[in-house]
Amino acid sequence: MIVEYVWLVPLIPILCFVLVGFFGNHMHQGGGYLSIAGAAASFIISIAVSVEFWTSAAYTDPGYVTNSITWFSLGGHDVNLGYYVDSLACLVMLFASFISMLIFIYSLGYMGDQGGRKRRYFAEVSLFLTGMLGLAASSNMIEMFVFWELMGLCSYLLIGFWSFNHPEGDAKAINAASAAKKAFLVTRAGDVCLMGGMFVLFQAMGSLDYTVIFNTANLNAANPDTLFLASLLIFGGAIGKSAQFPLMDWLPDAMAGPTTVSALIHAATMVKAGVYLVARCFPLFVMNIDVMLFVGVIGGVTAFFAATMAMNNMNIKKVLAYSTLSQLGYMFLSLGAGGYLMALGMQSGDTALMAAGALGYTAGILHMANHAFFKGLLFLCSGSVIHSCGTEDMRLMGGLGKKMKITSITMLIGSLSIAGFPFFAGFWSKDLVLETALDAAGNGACGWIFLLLWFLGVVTAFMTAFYMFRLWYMTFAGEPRENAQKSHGESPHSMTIPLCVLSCFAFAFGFVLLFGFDGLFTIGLNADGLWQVGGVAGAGAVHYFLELFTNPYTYLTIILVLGAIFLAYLMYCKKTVDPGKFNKHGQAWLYKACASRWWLPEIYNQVSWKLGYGVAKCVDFFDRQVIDGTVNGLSNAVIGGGELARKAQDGNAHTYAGVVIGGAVALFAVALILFVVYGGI
Amino acid sequence: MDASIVTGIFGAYTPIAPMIIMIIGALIMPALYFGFKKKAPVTAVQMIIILISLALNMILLGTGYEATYANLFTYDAFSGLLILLFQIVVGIVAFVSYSSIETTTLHFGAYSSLLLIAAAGMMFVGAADDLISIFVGVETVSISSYALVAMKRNDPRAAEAAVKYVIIGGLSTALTIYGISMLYGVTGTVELSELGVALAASGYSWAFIIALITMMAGYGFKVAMVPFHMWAPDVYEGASTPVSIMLATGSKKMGLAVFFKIFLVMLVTANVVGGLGIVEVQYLFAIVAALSMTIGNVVAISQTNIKRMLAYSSIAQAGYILIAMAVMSQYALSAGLFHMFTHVFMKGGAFLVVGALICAGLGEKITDYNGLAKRAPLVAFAMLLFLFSLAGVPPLAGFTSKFFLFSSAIYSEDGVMTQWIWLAFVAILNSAISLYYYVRIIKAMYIEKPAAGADSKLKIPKTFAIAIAVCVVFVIVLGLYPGIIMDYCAQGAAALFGLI
Amino acid sequence: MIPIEYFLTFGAILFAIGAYGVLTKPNAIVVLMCIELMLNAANINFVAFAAYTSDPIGQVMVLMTISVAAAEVAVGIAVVLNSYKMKKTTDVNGLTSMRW
Repeated sequence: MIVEYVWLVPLIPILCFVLVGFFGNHMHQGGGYLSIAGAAASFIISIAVSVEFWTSAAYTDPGYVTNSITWFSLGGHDVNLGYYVDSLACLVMLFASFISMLIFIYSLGYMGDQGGRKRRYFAEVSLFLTGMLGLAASSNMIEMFVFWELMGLCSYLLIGFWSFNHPEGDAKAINAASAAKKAFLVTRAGDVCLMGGMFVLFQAMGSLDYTVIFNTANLNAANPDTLFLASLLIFGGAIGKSAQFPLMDWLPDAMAGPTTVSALIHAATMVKAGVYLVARCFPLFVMNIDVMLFVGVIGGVTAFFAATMAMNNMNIKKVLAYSTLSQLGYMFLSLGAGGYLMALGMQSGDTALMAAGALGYTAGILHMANHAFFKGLLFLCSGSVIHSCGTEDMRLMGGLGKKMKITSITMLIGSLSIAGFPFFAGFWSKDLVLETALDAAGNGACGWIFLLLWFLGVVTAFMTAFYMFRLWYMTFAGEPRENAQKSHGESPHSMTIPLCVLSCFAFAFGFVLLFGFDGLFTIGLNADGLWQVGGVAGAGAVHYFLELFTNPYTYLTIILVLGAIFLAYLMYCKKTVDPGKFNKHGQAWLYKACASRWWLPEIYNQVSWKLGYGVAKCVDFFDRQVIDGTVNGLSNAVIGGGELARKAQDGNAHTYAGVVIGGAVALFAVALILFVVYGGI
Repeated sequence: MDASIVTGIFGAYTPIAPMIIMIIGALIMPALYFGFKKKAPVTAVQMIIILISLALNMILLGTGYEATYANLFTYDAFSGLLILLFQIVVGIVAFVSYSSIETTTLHFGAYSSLLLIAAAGMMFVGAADDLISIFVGVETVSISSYALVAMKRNDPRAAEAAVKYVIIGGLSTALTIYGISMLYGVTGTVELSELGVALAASGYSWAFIIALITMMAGYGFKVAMVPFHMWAPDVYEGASTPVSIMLATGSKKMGLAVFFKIFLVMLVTANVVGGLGIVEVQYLFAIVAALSMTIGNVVAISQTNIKRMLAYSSIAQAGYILIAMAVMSQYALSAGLFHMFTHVFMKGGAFLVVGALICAGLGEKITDYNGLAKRAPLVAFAMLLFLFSLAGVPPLAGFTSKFFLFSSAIYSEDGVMTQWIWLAFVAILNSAISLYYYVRIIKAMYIEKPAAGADSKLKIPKTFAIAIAVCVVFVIVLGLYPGIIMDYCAQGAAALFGLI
Repeated sequence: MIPIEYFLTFGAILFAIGAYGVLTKPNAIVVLMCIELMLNAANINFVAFAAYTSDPIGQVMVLMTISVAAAEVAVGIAVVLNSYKMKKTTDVNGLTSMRW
C-alpha cells in the first residue's frame, strides 16, 4: 500500500529544505535542482497515493484512509500524529506539488541572477511546500495548525525576500519588509481565531481528530451553540489566510515579494489553505445554516469588491492579486451556497436540495483546483513579462506580443480561462458556482441574500473578463511603450516550458467534470450516515452539458464575458494604437458596429473609469479609514497604554514599594468585593 | 534500577539527598577558589556536584520514590519534578557563568557557592511540606540572590538594582511572614496538608483574606506578577545575565510552586472536604493572571533595552502560568508545570543569547542587534527560534505548552466549562500582541542593516554556544514531542492532587 | 488574660508604621530598619497565637523569622554599602538610573 507512505509527501520537501539550507551554496543553482527533484518526488508519490486510493475499496467506504500514532496526551485525551487521505486531500496534494514543481523550475530562470541568495530562496520555498502538503495530509486539527503556521512563517520570510537588498533600491526593501510584517500579523489575527475555535471544538468534542469531529453522531450530540462559536472562529482563520473581506489588505501588499513567490502563494499554497479549511470543516459548518450564510456572504462580497479594485489598477501584479481575492470569493460563495442548500436539505430531509448543495461543494473545490492552474499560469506569465521589461507598470508596456510569443499566447489562455470563456477550465467551475448561488436563491428564508450574491457574482464575471483582457491588451497588444522597447525578448526555456504545461491544464482541467471525475469531489452522507468526500459515481458529461447549456443564465454569463472581452478590446486595443495590420480589421468592424469610436472612451470614462473608480475608491476608503482606523486605533491604544505603564516605572524604590503596598490594598478591596458577591463572608 | 542505591547511602535523608549534595558543593566552592585562584576548576567541580545531584534526583524520580523527612520535606513526583527544573536552571547558569565576562572574578568562589545555595533553597521549597520550610527555603533563595545581583563586576547599575531588590524583597518578606502569621492564627497549623481541612472548618474570615492577600503579595514578588512586578525589569537589567536567567527561570518558578503548594492544595482541599466555595479566590487569581499578561506584554512593546523587554515578557509568561491557579484543575496544573519547563528553555535561551552577545562586545539595546543575522547567523537563528517559541509559533515548545495551558482554561474532564473561556481569550489575544515586539527583534536581526563600522563577525564563548544549543534542542523537541516532560508533569500534578 | 485582639492590633499598628517608613524614608538603611519593624509585627502575631493555642510551632516560627531577618539585614547592609562605594549615596531617591 502506497497510501501508507503518504507522510513522505510533506517529508521530502522538508528534507530538501534542510539540505538546501545547509549545503545549497555548494550545489548547482543554489540547490534549485534538489528542490525541483523534491517537489517532483512529492508529486509522483501524490499521484501514486491518489491513484491507489481512488481505486481501493476504502474510497467507496468509508471514503478515507487514516492512520495515526499518539503524539501526546492532553488531559486524558490523546492528540495524534498521522495522515488522513481522502479525495480532498489528494486533490490538494496533487495540484500543490505539481504547480510548485513547475514554479520551482521557472524560478531557475527567474531567480537566475540572484547568486548566493538562491540558496535561501529554494530552501524557503521547499519549506513552504511542506506547509501546504502537510496541511492537506494531516489527520487532526492541531497537526494541521502546525503546518498552517509553518506556511505563515514561510510567507513572512518569502514576501520579505527582497527586504535585505532590493534590486530597485532601499525604499522597495523597506516596502517589502513592511509587507512581510503586515502579511504575518494580519494572518495571525485569523490564526488567533482559528486557535480559539480549536479550543472550543476540543472542549465540545474532546478530540480534534477528523474522524471524531466530523462524525455525524458526535456532531449531533454536541452543544449546537458551542459548535456555532467554533465554526465562526475557524472560519475567521480561513478569512485571514485566504485574505477575505475584511482581512484582505495584506495580499495585494504581498506582491512586494518575488513574482514566483506570489505565484506560489496565490496558486499552490497559502490562500488555498483557507478554502481547504472551509471545505474540510464543511460537515461542521453545515450544522448551522447561519454559518454557511455567513461564508457565502463574505465570499460574494469579496468577489465583487476585489474585482472592482482590479479594474483601475496599473500594476500588472496587483491586478492579478485582486483577481485572486475575487476568485477566492467565488470559492467561498460556492461553499457557502452549497452548505446553505445542504443544511436546508438536512433540515427538511430533501435529497434534491442536498444534491444541489453537494454540487456547490464540487464547484468550490474544482474552482480551487482550476484557479490554481490558471492563476499560477497568469502569475508566471506576468513574471516573464516583468523579467523581460523590468517594470510592473502596464502603462510602460504594450506590444510585447510580438517579442514574447509564448508568453502572450499562454497568458491569453490563462485569461480566457479565468474569464470563463466557454470550454476553458474556469468556465465550468465558475458557471457551477453561479448556478449553485442561484439555486440557493430559490430556497429557504434567506434566499434573497443569495439572489443578491448571485447578482454580484454575475457582475463580477463581467468585470473579471474585462480587467483580464484590459491587462492582456495593455501588455501585449498595441505599440511598445517605454520599457517594452527595452525589453529583451522572450524568457529562457526554463521559464517558458512551465508556462506551456500550465496553459494546457488551464485550458483542459475543467474537463475532469465531464469525464466522470466529478464524483470524486462531491460530498454527502453515505450509507452509514457519515460525511464522505467522493465515493459516488460521477454525473457524467451529458448531465453537465444539459445542466449548463439548458440553463439560460449560462448564456447570460457567456454573453457578458464576450461583451466584456470585446469592450476591453475596444478600449485598450483601439484607443491607443495607430491603425496597424493587427487592428485594421477590428477598426473597420467597429466602425460599422458603433456610430463613432469617440464615444467609447467616453463610456469607458463615465461607466468604467468613473463608476468603477468610484466604487473602488469607496471600498478603498472604507478599507483605509474604517478598518485600518480601527486597527490603528487599537494598536495606538495598546502602545499608549504601554507608554503610560512604562512611565510609572520611574526607577525609584519608593514608588515600587508604594505599588506593592497599594497593589496589595487594591487586591484586598477586589477580594472583599468578590467574597461579598459570592457570599464567602 | 531502584531507589535502594540512593537510600543505601542517604538513609532517612534520602528525600533531601539532592539538596544535601548541593549544600556540600556550596561549602567547598570558596575553598577551591582560594586554592586554585582560577575559574575553571571551580566550575568543573560545580558541574560535577550539579550532575551528581541531578543523577540522584533522576533515580528517585524515575523509580517513583516517595518519602517524608522530619515532617518538613516530602519527596514525591511533584517535588521531584520541581527539583529537576531547578537543577536544570542552575546547571545552565553555572555552566555559562564560567565564561561570562559579567560574572565577578574576584569573588568567583563566593559567587559559585551562592549559586548552589540558591539552587538548594529552591529545591527545598520544591520538597517543602509546611509553611516554615517554605518560608525558610524562599528566604534562602532571596538572600543569596540579593548578593548574586550585587556581585556583577564593575557596574553601578548592578549596585542600584541590588538595593532596589533588597528593599522590595525585604518588604515582600515582611508581607509574607505577616500573612503566614495570620494564616497560622486562622488555621492553627503550619502543615500544608492540614491547612485545607482547618480552613474548611473555620470558613472564610477577615483574617484569612488578609493572610491570602499578603501572602499573594509576598510570593507574587518572586513570581513578578502584576502589581508586584516593578522590581523585575530593573533587576534583570542590572544583574549579570546568568543571574538574570536564574531569577527569570528559577526563582520565578519557585514562587509559582509556592502558590501551587499552599493555595491550590489548601483551597481545593477545603472545597472537596468542606464544600467551601473557592470561586472568589479563583477569580482573584484570574484577575491577577489577566493583568500580568496584559501589562507585561503591553509595556514590553515600548522597551528599547532587550533585557528589560525580556523581563516584561516573563511577567506576561508568569501571567500565563497563573491560569493554572485560576482554573485549579489537575489538568491545568500539569499544563502549568509543563509551561514552567518550556519557559526555562525558551526564556533561558533568549537570555543566554543576550549574555553571549554581551561577552562578544554587543550592547543591550535592540538597535545593537541590527544585522545580527549577518554577524552571527547561528546565534541569530537560535534567537529567532526562542522568540517564536515565546510567542507561541508552532511547532516549537512554546506553542505546545501554551496550547495545553490555554486549553486547560476551556477544557475540563467533567465536560462543559465556560467559566474561564474569557481568560483563555485574553491569553490568546495577549500572545498575538506579544508577537509584535518579538517580531521587532527579529526584524532588527534579519532586516535592519548593522550600524556603520559594526559589521564584523561576532565570536561567542564556547560554554554559551553549548548552552544555547541545548536550549534550541529542547525548544524543538518539547514542541514536537512534549510527552517526554508532559508525562512527568501529569504525574506531578496527580501527586499534588493526591494529597487532597 | 489580655484579649488576643490587643496583640493583633498592636502588631497591625507596628506593621503599618514599618510600611509607612518603607514608603517615605529616603535613607536605604532606615528603610531596612523599617522592614525589621514589619517583620517584628508578624513575630508578635505568632507569639500571641502560639500563646493562645498553647502550640509551640508559632514560637519556632518566631525563631526562624528572627534568624532570617538577621541574615537579610546583614546582606542588605552589605548591598547598601556596595551601592555607597559605587554611587556615593544611600539615598533611595538617588538610585533611579534604570527606569522606564
